Amino acid sequence: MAENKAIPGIGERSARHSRRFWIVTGVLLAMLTALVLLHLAFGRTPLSLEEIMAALSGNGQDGHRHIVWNLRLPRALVAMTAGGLLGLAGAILQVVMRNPLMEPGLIGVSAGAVLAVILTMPFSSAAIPINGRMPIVALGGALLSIGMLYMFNGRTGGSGPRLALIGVVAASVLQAANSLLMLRQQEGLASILLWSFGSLNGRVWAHWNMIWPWALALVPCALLMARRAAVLQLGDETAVGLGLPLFRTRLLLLLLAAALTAVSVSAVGAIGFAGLIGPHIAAKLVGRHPVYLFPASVLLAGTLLIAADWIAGSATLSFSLPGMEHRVTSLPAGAVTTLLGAPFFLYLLRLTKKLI
Amino acid sequence: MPSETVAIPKPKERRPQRRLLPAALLGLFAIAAVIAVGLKGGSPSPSWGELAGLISGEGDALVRTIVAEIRLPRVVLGLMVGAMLAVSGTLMQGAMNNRLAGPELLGLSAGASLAAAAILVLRLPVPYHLQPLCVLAGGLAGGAVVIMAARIARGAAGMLLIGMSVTAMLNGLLIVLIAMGTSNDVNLFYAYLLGSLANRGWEQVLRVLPWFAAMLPVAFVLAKRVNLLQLGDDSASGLGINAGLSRIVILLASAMLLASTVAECGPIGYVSLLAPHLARAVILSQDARLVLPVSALIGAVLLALADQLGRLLFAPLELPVGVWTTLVGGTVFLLILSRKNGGAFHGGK
Repeated sequence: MAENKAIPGIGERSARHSRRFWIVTGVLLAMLTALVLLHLAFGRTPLSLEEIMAALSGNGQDGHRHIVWNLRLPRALVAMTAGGLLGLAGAILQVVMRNPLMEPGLIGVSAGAVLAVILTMPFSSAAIPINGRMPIVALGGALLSIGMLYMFNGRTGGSGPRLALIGVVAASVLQAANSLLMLRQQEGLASILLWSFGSLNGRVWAHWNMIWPWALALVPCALLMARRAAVLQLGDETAVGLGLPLFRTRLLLLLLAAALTAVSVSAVGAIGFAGLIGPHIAAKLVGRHPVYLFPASVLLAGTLLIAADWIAGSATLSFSLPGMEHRVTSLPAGAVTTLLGAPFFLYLLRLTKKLI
Repeated sequence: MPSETVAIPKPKERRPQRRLLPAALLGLFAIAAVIAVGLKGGSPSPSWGELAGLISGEGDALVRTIVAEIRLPRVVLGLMVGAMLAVSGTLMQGAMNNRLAGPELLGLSAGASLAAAAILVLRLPVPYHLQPLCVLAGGLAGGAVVIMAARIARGAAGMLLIGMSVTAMLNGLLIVLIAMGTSNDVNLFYAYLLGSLANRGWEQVLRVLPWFAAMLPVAFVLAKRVNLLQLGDDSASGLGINAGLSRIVILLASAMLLASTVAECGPIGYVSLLAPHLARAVILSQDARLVLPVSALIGAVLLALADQLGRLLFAPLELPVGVWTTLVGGTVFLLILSRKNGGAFHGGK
């Protein structure tokens, strides 16, 4: 593999790019830390930096310690991790399908995961269960929908907007199936509906415990696959010529994307468009070479989701919307990412010809 | 949106007019059958003799009330809404010269749903009888955004994706409203959001009727223009019509047909997408003047039949017809998508 030459289609990988990547990584990590601190500080009870530090180190008032440790910290961590997983899944899908419009939520992978989870929910339970089984169940659904998409795509070899359209329709069919199942769960309808759109309300340590082992296992796997993904990006013939087992690599990467999506969905629900925006901004910053793109996407999408949750929270607090003055919950973060992401998708659609 | 190359439609060997009559007769027969099933099925299930007796004013008062006040309006509404959806879809596919165009993919349904949600959840002071008009306005606004955005689209799929992202944005706002609503509101609204013909009476039929009566003739008048637009913008202009203006007029008619149904029954997906496809397959023609009536018949039968199936198959449970049509119709649409390689009528890729 030519490491120091610019290869058309996959982006450069040179010393200059490497330096740039480390700078971007540093900036993103700093942003992430800042956002976590912001997330801890603002809310119904604003805390100062000293108060947060005191609470984190186990001193300070009991109330503050409770707010920081039990309410805000797990929520920030879950947001960060789930966003990062989604961003990585989006980056992988975009590379494997060679299509800049791919996104796990958009093409129905998240909807498949949601479907599987709702299917296995106990009858008439009013809340989404939290247990270690969830990511595996969700993975089943995600795999099913990704397989469906691949099958439909494989027959025509369609690419670009067409494949995205197939995904969108598949997602709408899966969502109809979801609504059908939700009919029997009238009691928890509102919470399931919010969850199927993605929300961070009420995420606690249990959610964090559910996803961190998966994240720890999956993210390094994906990063290890980045070099192979780069070869895949060159086109099938070149990749075969370079000795890459095409089918196996693609299958492995898709499997990873499905798993990443499923884990994120089982913790925060089907957050839309985070997996689209993250990788694209990352590509603008560090180039499209997967070795750089994948880690940058993780950081960016993580930053994005935590920012979206923070925006949703502060929007609820600062504008007293009619009928919402006395509510304690905040807007779902999924609504924020969708409202930001859909116009971004439109913008991408305009650029598609240049990108493909 | 405009096709790159223009081809003259190939003359078909069989004349489509000859297929029109059998198709129409079959359609009318199917409608009669659906009405019969719709009146008889369920509990209580009157015998044919009893049903005939009801017409002449005999029989049990309870059964008569059930048949005349609950079952009959539901079937009638299903037929009317189905026909309107199908005509709306035919017009839209013709005007956009895009066989994959369907109102559910173009932001209309989402706009209408959003308006309905705003009224319900925010408790906007809108008088009850004006609510359908507000929903209509929401649907038209959603459609207008997409049509304006479509100017930048390239190709059939690109245009639908624009519709999809506008829909996603509207859904984002919708979910904000849902987050704000009480649990009770959400349940109420959810039933609407799925698209259903349950619990609709003569009142809803009367509200849809003016649109049905006014817009269907308009659609048939527009059929000629649709034919010209199907040839592609260049040939249409060559034949002396203003392609841009015609398209907007046709889309407006289509949007009005659709939005008036969404206001009463909620968004019902994929009927308007599939009925024209079936109609074209049945009469082997792309002449909108022939496709339009046949697809109206097919749409009416499809929707009313789907509703009866949803009502009777799992009785006493009931499937909302919108879920049902999306499940089946979406799958069929996926198959169409994966089989065909282009969306345009003539030319395209």
